Amino acid sequence: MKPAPFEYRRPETVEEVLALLARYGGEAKLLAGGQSLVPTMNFRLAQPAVLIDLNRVPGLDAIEETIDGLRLGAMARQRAVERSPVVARGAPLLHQALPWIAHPQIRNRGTVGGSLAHADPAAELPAVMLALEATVVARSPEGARRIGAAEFFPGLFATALEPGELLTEIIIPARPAGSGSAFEEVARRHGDFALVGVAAEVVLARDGTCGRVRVALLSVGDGPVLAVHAAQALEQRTPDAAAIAQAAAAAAAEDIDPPGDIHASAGYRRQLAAVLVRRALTRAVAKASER
Amino acid sequence: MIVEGRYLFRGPRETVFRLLQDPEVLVKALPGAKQLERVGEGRYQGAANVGIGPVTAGEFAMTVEIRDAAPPETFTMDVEGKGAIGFTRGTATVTLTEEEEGTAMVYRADLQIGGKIAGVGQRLLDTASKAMTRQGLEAVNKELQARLAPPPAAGETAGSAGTQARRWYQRKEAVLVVLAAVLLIYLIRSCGGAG
Repeated sequence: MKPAPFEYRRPETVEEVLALLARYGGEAKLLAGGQSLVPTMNFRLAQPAVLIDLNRVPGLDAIEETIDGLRLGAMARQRAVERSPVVARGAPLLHQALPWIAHPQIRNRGTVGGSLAHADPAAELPAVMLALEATVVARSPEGARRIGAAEFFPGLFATALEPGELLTEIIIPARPAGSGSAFEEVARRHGDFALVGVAAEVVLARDGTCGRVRVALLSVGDGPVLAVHAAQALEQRTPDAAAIAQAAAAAAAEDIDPPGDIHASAGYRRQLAAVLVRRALTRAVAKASER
Repeated sequence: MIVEGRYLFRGPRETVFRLLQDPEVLVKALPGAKQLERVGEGRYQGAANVGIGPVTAGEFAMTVEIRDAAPPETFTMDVEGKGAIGFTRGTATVTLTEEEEGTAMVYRADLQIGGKIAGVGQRLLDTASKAMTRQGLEAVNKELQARLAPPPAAGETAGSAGTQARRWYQRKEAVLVVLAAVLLIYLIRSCGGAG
């Protein structure tokens, strides 16, 4: 399959990208890793008139520690992030989740910013960013603005980016002491779209009770879903098996309204969510206890 | 695929009806809908430009046929939509009932979706149709709340409001069309939800 004809532009600076976005507006699509956009174009479901290729824009692929925490350039390849010791140390949850994204070949091209801007409800990275309370930086000709992950995903395939804005980087705050995390997912085959996925991070206080708990689910709604009730069920409590089971039940019953399709019914997804939240929280607590 | 649900409009049924009888309002409230016109007794044709996420908006031609209408409570409609990326066909039933807190709309559609979208977008059909349904109904409810808010024109009398209500009531078929459009647009949009 081949895409419909399009005009190809390859800017070399962020300013050029912004100028092209301003010029072509909604007719243009930004090409990052192309692992979702290009297949969609090949099916001719997407037929952008102009493709703006970000791959030659320097300086968008940073993976570094800053005073803010971890800074990831929007064009950082998923595989590079997966293999980065800086990420493994600074954001263990992100490190744990990356191998679940598709296949290595896809992660070699796929970018962190591309996945976030695409906002597929079955994508791992939006849920991870929501759990980690990451901030997205968007550039426009007027300057840069920061958008919290909780506001960044307003709906199905939708982001808080305005027309003309370019996602340039993602900032993940430093993880608090006593935190532990885990990522769980079930797909029909490894690398398929997740039926349900869970990203969880738990902070343990010195007395062994739970401080802040963040649980984010994927593939159960329009976008990543923060399991608020699950977190409430566990916070300020000793995270024993009973408390974790309660939190998992709350996530499945109160936090999500999952879809059904030919691969998994809504009821099955709900059941799966309870199981995966329980596993993720159990592992996250164990990790947090190690420290 | 079955698309079903219940939505509560915060307003009396008469007011909901009056609102729903204004196709221009509803077509405006529904993203993507371009036009909708009556082509015969209970038959309507229109066009919608719909796309979602990475899918480029494509034009869909649609036809809606209303049958078994029992205003102001229920009707059944047959819908068909055709576009470059696929087609859809189905039957939907809508019922409006009076509740303590407002007017409940219960809808159930049995749809067939075919073409490219059915294969590529399968995993997103349910999510997309839920999202579109919510979005469309919320847009309608927002318009309803705007209408329930203080009267728009100063000096407008109860008499003229009554006249207006009667005039709207005479156009009750338009309500059905608009509801049909709502459902049709959801399903078209859901078709477009391929990742």
